[in-house]
Amino acid sequence: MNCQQAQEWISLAIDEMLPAEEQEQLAAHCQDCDACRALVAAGSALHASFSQMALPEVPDHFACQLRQRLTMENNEHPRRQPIYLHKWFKGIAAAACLMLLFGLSGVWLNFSAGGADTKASDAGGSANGWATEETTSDMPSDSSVFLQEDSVAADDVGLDADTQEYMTQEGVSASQSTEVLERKIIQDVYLQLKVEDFDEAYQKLNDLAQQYGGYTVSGEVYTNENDIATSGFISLRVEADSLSQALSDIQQLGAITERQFHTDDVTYEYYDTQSRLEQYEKQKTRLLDFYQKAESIEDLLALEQELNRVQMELDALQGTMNYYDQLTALSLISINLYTPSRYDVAVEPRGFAGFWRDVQEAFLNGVNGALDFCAGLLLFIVRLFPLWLVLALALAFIFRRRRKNRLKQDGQNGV
Amino acid sequence: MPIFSRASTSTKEEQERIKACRAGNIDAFADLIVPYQQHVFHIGLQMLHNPEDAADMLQETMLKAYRGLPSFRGEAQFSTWLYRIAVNCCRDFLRKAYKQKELSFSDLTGEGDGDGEPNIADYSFMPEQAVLDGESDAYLRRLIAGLSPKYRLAIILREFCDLSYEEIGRITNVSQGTVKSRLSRARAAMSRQALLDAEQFPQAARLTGQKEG
Repeated sequence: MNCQQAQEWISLAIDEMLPAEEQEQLAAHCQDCDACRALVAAGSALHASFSQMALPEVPDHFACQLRQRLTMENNEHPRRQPIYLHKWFKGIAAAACLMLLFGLSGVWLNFSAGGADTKASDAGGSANGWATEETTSDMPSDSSVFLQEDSVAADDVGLDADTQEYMTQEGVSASQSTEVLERKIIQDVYLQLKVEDFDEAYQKLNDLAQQYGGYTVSGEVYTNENDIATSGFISLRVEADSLSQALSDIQQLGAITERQFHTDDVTYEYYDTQSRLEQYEKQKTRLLDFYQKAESIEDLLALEQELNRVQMELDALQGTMNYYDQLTALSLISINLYTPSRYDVAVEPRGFAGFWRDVQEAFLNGVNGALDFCAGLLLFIVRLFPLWLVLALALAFIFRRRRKNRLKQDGQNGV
Repeated sequence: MPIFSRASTSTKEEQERIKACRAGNIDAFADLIVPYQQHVFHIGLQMLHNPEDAADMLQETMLKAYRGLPSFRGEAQFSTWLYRIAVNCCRDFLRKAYKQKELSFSDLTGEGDGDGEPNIADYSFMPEQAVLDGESDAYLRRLIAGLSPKYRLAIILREFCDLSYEEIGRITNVSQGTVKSRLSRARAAMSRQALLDAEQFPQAARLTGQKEG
């Protein structure tokens, strides 16, 4: 070890950073070397003296002067105070939270109400673009209004201009076009009927169809697990004139929870078919005339062929007419029958399968609820957008004003 | 005192104050710098030899610190950060003095620290009166003042600001090894001068660890 090495170690030793092993080496070196021994002593003494030295006091005017300069600095380059440091922040945050809570409860209520609505319309069945009305008891009066209206419309005859023009073009006689024409209207009614005794109601509806000159078009019956009929569907045709009466009879069977009307005005098609039918009749008469006067075999054959064609057209048109006649003469009543759900009286072990399904359902309901809630919250926040804007502006204004005040105060204090 | 202890640890209170300062709170800043202002002033006095310059440098340092606080990320200790600003301030003052008075000085920082360093210390101006007065503080200051600037700075940061080698290295932009060698050279130079003085003036003997007389 040389003295230069020792010099570095002495310094480390003073700072208490020299490892023990090297401390021993240094001590050994110092025993032989007077100069290094003196350096150790002097260095340690100096270190001790330095640590006892008093720190100089800062100039008296330092604090004052600094304050002035910092105030100037603040005025020249105003600093933005983070909003969370502000005195009012907690209060405003609390108020905002409270408001949010109110809003949320509002959203929550809205949501549950909305859910109920959806359920109700689900139960109401499909609308199919029909005029849908939900009723409970005032069915007869309403339906009679509907039917009266219809009969009035039927009296108020007269085809639209198009039809008249068409008829004259086709050579329909003037007497026919001015003749009082009956409106041809197909009426469909759809009912949702709640009954206490399904079987009895179903039977009565069947009877009703026959009573009013119609028939049962179709029927479906659904039973529950105990083989008891709980719901079903039946469609009847009754004479159009007795529709009103039939509906009020059905009303007696139970509670009508929904009804839909649908009318199809086929007047135009009906009379169009009718006029074409007449044209063909005339043609047929003329052809028969020719047929009787025909002299050559070729003429006879040609005429017979033509007669056949006309007859086929006539049959087809007649079929259409009959179809329309039937549709308009007999109105269709479709009835969805159901019985109010009852609690099963019998106690049956359901097993865990059912329980797990319930758990699953509950879990899914929970998840859906949470999602709905989040969506609602988001919607709520978005919906309040104008309010946020106003709030932000107000806050910005307040902060600005307060900062100005503070700066002014600092300036006045002048420290 | 172990070198790992610090003049001040970054307390929660200090962090709160720093946060408030960023928002422009002057009172918080005043509280924040109280534990360090004397040290900074001391650095200025020792480095600049001139109380007026030291006072100016103190003001300048604190103003710079206040301006720079928003960009202080808290990666280093606040004290280290503040001393670094102080050291940079001193360098600016010395540079100005160098331009005005054509004084020679070695750069405070940087790696130009070869073995053939000509001037570690210059005690030619050491007035005998200081030694004769027997006032140890004044004598010790003179002893430090005799060191050339970068050695002086290392000694001040170590002995008075009680900073670790690592912190000193960070403040002066040099490695810990360089800090180690600077400290040992500075101490050796001061010790030799003190021993010389002790031979001449018995009053200084106790500062060298030798018995008086």
